Amino acid sequence: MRILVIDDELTARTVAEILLTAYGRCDVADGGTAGLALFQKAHAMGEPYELITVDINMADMLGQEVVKRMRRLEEKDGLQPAKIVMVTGRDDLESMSASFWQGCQGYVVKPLTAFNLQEMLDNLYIEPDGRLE
Amino acid sequence: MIGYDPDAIVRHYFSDQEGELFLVSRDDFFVKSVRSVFQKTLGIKEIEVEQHRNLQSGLRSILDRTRNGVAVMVMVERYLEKVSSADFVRALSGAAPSAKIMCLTDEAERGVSAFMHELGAGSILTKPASANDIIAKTAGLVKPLEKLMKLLAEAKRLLNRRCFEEAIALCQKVMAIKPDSAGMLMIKGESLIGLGRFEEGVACLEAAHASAPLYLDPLERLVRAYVGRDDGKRLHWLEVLDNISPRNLRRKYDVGRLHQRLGNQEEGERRFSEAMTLARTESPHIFSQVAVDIAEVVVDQSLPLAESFLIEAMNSREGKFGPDDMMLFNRLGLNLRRQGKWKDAEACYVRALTISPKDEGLHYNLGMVLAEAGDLHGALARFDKALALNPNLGSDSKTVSVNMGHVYLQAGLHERAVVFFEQALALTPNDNAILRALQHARQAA
Repeated sequence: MRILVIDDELTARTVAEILLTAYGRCDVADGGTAGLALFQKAHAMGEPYELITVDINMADMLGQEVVKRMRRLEEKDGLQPAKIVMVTGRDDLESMSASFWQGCQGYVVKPLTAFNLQEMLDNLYIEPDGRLE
Repeated sequence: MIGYDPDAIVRHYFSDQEGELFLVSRDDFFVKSVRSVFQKTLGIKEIEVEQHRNLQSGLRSILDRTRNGVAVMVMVERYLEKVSSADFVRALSGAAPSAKIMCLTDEAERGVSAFMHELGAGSILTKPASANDIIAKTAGLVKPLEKLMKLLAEAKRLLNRRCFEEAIALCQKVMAIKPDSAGMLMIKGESLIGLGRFEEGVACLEAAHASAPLYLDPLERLVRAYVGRDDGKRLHWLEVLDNISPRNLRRKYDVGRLHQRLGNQEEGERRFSEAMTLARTESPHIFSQVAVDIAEVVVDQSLPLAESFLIEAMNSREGKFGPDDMMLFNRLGLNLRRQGKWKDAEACYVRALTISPKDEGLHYNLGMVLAEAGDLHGALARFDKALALNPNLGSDSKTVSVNMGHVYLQAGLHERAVVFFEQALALTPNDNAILRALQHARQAA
């Protein structure tokens, strides 16, 4: 499984990458613009990301806007939607509702831990791919 | 069911699994009754019961507990102080999938049960409720998964891993015993689609729907199957879903969008209007976002119609704007600009700048409005401010560079115009219109 982590904060990005490596091949992007570029490139190469984690508070773009643009691209090209999980410090109802409105399927309030990640991915029927076993 | 003991199931959840109960409710009498049922009737003395009187504080507290691995059951009022708990239920089920959510209602509303289930509530309890009702509903919510549900979860995992043949084999095994299992028909259908057998897959999904007409999952998968294939059929299945669960805001919006795309503008507008009504009642937290997204869909059809949605979005903020709202101001300003409503556009950007005075994009946009209204002096002053905030303004946008180039050219500042046309040309080297503008500016300089 291909995974994309989008977060403009280095520590958060690194933690997510380490935890998600058990689930598949992980790429990282340091902001919304870079994340969207990788997303499009992956589609163009015919190897789309199946799981994407997105931070909300990013300097160049809000996470919800990133999700909105991804969903629009998927719909335009008739692609199967990726599973998108917001991973963010925001725990207010407005941020959460806006994220689900734009089409994310899961929401993790930071800090990201092995426990809350597994709970989230279990719910999305995603299992470790065994590469660490 | 033989051996089904609701009391024992509830006791096991709260005693052995140390489940905690959260009540998000202002109905103190009901809260007291629930405590009494669990502590006195069922004798669970150690049960932790926490009451919250508003949605936000309840959400934070519950997430804090689930993050620490605590098993949590939540009873939440359908409306709290006249505010729908729909966003709360969606947020909680999305952020804490293991939380067991029960929605409390006072009266039957059409489609509310399907809607709350869609959002993630596992159960609906109508008040007033007897002790037996409370125990029965709680047991139904927290009982362990039955064998068929476990097999269905396993089939979903196989499907997710794209092990289509194995998923189909598991479905066939279950269907040998329970041939009309809607869940298994659904997974089989999706697996067949995954294998490229689209027609057979869709037939299975339709059979799943026929087997359990109110089960929403197969319908959602039918909608997804037609994405990029057939908007007419996608719309058909969306409408079926909308008929069963008419309070789903996102779906109402999607139905409107598809009508719009298929040329049914009147029907699209009607659905958008319904979506706005729903957003107001069910999702006040994202009302402005919904209005902005609808405006985006209708903007090519009618600028004034898009403007009306943007104005609704603006008004819904009740003057409480933050940095996240700048996109709203920019969209409204751009809309007004395109309509030639210069004064209104200017007022929009000026207001935005009182909230976010260091946003170079707002200064640039205000500059463009002033330029288009004929006030070149004012426009240049705004560009200066924008460039002071971001000297690289336009370096990643052809449109911004070209627009600024033309304004500088118009103002007789030919050398500055050259800089911006060169910047635009660097982004799109073979653009003839920019090449001509650059030549013109160079000759004038």
